[in-house]
Amino acid sequence: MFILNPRAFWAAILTSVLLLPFAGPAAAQMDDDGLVVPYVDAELPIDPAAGMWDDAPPVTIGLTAQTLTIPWGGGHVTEVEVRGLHNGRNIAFLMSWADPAPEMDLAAGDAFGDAAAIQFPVEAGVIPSPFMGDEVNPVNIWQWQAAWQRDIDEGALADVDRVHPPHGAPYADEVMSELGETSWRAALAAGNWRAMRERATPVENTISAGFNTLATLPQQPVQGRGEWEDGRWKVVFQRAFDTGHEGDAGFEVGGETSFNVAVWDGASGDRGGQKSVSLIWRPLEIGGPPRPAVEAPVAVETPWWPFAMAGLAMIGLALAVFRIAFIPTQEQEDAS
Amino acid sequence: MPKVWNWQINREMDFPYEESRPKRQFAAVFDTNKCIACQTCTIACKTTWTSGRGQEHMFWNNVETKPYGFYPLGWDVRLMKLLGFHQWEGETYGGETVFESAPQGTQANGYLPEDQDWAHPNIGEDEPCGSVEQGQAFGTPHDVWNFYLPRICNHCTYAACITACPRGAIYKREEDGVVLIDQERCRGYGECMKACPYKKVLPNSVTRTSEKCIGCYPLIEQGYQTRCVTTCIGRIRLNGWISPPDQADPEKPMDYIVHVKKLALPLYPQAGLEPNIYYIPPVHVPGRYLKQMFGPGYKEAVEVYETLEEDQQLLGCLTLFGSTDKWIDRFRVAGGYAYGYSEDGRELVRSPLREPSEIRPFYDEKHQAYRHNTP
Ligand code: SF4
Ligand code: SF4
Repeated sequence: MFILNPRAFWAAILTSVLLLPFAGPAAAQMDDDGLVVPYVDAELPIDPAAGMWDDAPPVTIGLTAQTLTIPWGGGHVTEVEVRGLHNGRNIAFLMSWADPAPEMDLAAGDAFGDAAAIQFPVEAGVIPSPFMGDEVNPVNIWQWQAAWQRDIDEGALADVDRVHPPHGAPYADEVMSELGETSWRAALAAGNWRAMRERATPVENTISAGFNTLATLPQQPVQGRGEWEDGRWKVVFQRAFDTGHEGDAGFEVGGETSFNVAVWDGASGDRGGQKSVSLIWRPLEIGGPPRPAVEAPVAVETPWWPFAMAGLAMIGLALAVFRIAFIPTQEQEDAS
Repeated sequence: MPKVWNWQINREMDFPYEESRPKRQFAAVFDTNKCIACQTCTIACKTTWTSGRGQEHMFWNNVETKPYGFYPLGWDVRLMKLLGFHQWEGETYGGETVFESAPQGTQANGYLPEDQDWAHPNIGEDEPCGSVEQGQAFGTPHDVWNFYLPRICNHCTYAACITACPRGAIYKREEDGVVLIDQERCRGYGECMKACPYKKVLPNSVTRTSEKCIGCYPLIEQGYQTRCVTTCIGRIRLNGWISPPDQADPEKPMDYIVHVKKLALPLYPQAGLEPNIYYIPPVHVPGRYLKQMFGPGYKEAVEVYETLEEDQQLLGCLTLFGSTDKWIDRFRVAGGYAYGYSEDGRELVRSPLREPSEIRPFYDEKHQAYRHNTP
């Protein structure tokens, strides 16, 4: 087993002390590089290829494999670009990422489809655990799936007919009454969103309070559309600012919240926890509509000296770490 | 990781959860010596539970010819490969279970079957093991062999499917130990399919969820045995509650056959799941194969079976197989009859150890005719 020598041990302790001020939940889990969602005076596009998206400033988010909860996996998609737009009534996001092999079928037992999700704190302003929320602060996750897009575009059972074409013998639903046939679909009877074939949106609106807790919300107000072209998926998510429903992420014109994303590469076997994730929250700034000019408020002065003193203390500690860890003692010099 | 006691491998083992046994544990004994691979059980299950679109390939109950039949393709050969070479040290398993050999970032050592693997449910049917040299088929009886292995979900005590589901969508019922997938929460990730060494979770291509044998729970809740048990033509099956060995009750058929008489054995106990379908091993199959499939108890089991006729109590117990569709809680053998009782002590069935039979003379004096069976 690896054992630290006493000097390295103390250096490690001091380093942890130094880093402590940054280890608060918000600071450690929030990236600076945020997304600004500008206001546009127009209907928001559901089309991922719409020209209006060019006006939305992009932010590129690096993704990594998920290794926090079992099963580990993902890491096949390394970055995703996110843009946002709003018009005061609705808010929309565009996620796009490179994927050379789109996977839209779910009908085979070993096939998993492409998917993308964007996550927000239910309550704007709080910082839940970035890992699918926590018991105190749940998160609202919107997940788009390529298979659900195909259900909408090509009709129910399109993937089954493609993956398992009937060879001569008719399918059960052609010989049984519809009621007779669907009565075998236990998941459908149980109200499982995944088992539905008639769907109005390819985006599932869910709530989560930590790993293992993801649940479909009764309301499904998120619209969307995904298209694959020239080796890229582009997926739009769109929702009204105010849905009036519990569990839906709160957005406010001119307000701030945060977000987090995940992408699944079906062709690589991604599903569930096996996904590429952005581990930390990103700030999300929702632009206000242009307002008539008002008098600038008087700035409240913040005292500068506590920060200066904290800074000095940290430099001192850093020097101590450096001294202990890297400058050899007399005995060590003698020994060498 | 918590340690739990697994009596089938005679040692403690690593398991992601603390030991917790249900109030009662669903079990069954299958006598492989009597199975004729008629697949009545398979079809009874299919017409009851899996006749829908998306379930075409799905058999919660299947019967495969061993050693060359598999459903899904090659499942147990692949399991043996995953577990690697292993030894039993007496009654104790010296290798690693699927939990102990789980690769980093997973709960169990497994593999996800390919879609095509489910497409040949009756592959290898009746194929014998060993080459038939001229004349040899009628020479020594056991050089060339095969047997039929009927399989359902084992409703394992340490179910790998439960540990692998990241959604916590699979659960073991406290009242009967039946393992179920919550069809509302399942999102078809297939982690259970990958983890189950017996490959008894299957994908539904229409609902996009995973499905498995439900132990006919609506029947057992009403005091009936499962469909595959009650329809069995060969009367090879019996349901019952099984206790851990230290609480074995000789009046309960499962406890008596498995713990007291040690006649029936778990399937691939070395996987570490403590499966609850117990098999009376086929008596004509080479010991090495039986040991690999059923563990070190095979010798004793074969011996007990071969001397069955001398053991009225055991014979009586086996007579109850296929004698009633009701769930037998206790049994008793007396006066040439085996009796099966319900939990509240009602007599459910009375079955003669020997059916009365009469041998009539070849020549019928009264009708002045010979009796023979040509029409
Ligand atoms: S046999 Fe497989 S599916 Fe059934 S309980 Fe055991 S691990 Fe789960
Ligand atoms: S019904 Fe009985 S005899 Fe026939 S295949 Fe099934 S288990 Fe074997």
